[in-house]
Amino acid sequence: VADRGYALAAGLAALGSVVLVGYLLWVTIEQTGEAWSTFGVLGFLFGTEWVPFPVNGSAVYGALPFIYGTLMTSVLALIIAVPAAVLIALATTVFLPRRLRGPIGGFINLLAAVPSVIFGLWGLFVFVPWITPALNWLASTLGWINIFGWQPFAGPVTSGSFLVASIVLAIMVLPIITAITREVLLTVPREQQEAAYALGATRWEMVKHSMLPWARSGIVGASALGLGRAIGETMIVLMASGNATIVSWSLFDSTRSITATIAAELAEAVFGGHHYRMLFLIGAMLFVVTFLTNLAGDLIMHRLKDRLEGRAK
Amino acid sequence: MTTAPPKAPRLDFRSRGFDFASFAFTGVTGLATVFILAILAVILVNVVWHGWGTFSWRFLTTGMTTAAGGAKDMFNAGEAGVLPMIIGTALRVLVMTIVVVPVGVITAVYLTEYAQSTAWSTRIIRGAVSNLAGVPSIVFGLFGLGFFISFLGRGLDGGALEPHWGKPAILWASLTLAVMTLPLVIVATEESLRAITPGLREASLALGATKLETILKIVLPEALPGILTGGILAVGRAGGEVAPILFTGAAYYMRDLPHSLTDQFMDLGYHVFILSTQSPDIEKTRPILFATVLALLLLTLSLNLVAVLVRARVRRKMRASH
Repeated sequence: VADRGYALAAGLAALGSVVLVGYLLWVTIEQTGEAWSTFGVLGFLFGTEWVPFPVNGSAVYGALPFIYGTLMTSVLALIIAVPAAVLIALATTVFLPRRLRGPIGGFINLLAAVPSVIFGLWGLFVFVPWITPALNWLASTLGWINIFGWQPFAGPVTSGSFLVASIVLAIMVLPIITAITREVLLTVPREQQEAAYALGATRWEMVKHSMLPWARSGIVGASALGLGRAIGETMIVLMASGNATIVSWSLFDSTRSITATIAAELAEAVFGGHHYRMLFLIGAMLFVVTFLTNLAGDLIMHRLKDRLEGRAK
Repeated sequence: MTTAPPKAPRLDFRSRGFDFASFAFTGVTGLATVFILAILAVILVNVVWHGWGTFSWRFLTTGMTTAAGGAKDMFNAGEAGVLPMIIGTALRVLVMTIVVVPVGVITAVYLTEYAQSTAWSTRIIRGAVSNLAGVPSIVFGLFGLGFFISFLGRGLDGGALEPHWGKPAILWASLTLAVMTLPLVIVATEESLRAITPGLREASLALGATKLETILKIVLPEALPGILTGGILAVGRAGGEVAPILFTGAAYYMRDLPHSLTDQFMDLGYHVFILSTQSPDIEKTRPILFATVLALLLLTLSLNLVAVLVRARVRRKMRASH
């Protein structure tokens, strides 16, 4: 009897985590109240102005600056981090001497353990002063570039910006993407590698023809999981992006993400007021977006795992 | 991805003679690796370099009250200490551990010992756990505010004018962090449960023990290192997180130490954020800022190091038993 009772209790505990995820979403959505209908979905998603404390007139809540800021910094971070992560994963599985591979993997995992507030601080105090002269030079030499009205390198250079936030974010997500890519590369069947060598392939040709095609979907999955991390990161963007609540198209200009907006404004918002509810609304939006990117990443990794277990049988 | 196919004898192939592409790629991948290790080194050296001068026993054990009972200037390197932040961080992490470890272990035991791994319910539970791991930490903060403080806390207060429960507190911050770190504990425990040989369970059952007795007396003691790893990883992760506690319990400044679980607290990570963004005179603040970072780094890195060592032992045992 005690046995069945325990099984039931354990089952309930396990089920609790499912309920928890659903409830998490429900609480954040429930707290948004009637904010949806008051401002309209389109006005909220595409409004370019976010003025919770207007000098005169009523408050305006348009989330586009943050949506753009979040997407731009995260995608840029991935563009920097994914190639680097693949290179490092290759280095620690194929190219470097066997003796060095383990310790290097360990050090990179150490990077994953550094709290994100420390990365934010590093970005703010060390990286910004260090890179600003370079960015100024870039702005003065490349500032004229104009792609159909988009001037990605126009000045002036602010102390925190898209580019700075992206680079620091890239450093933060790098260990995760590296670790997953490395695990995928380690699952490449030994015979497949040996077959390539037997056909006279050099090390690089073996990597190109028998490792990368095998690992491609795994790298995509790792990138999706990294994207989820970058979108959800709060402290780095809060500290290194400059915190401007306008849409700005230059990479050297300051910006703000969804997460940073919640962190910076929720404490000032009146409990249960419009501002408070709008912040919960963008939080719910963030939840849904990261849920989808993580689901995509998980599905890809699961398919890969199934394929692997199918082979091993 | 731990289920690798059985390994063939290792043959290390080396390219014969010189081949430019492979040579170039060894160089490029090696450079990328050196580059990222250099960044790690720069961050660590920078923190130690700037923080070492202020990092002392006095710094770690001084609070915010002066001998005369007045309040100290938290931004002034000559006066401030981090004792309240260390106590606050330790308290919130401790309460979190007390909640998350039992719940996580019970869930993991259910998933590995009771549930059928192919049943749809098990799949949904696993999916939920892995998705919980991907939820942004700031959303956990919103959840803590919406559920623990405004629903549970205000419900407990029952509409009292002076809120006792329905305000940011150590208790709510800890519970929020417990929700956040639950997947870490579940996954680590599951891994170590699966590392135990089936023979051990069967021997216990054959001797007449019930399933519950087997789990409590044989399986769980055997899985203890893995459970420890999960707990330590959770503590390491939660110790450095700032976003979930922003609205659920962290205080900007408190003159006194917290007295009960319903008090707010000062926190190491949040303090790093405040010192670096709110200081009126950054030159005066810089030494304590980096010393605080050093304290935070030492705490999280040493916890993670312990977790890595314990986990390595578990993995070795797993390999030996299969």
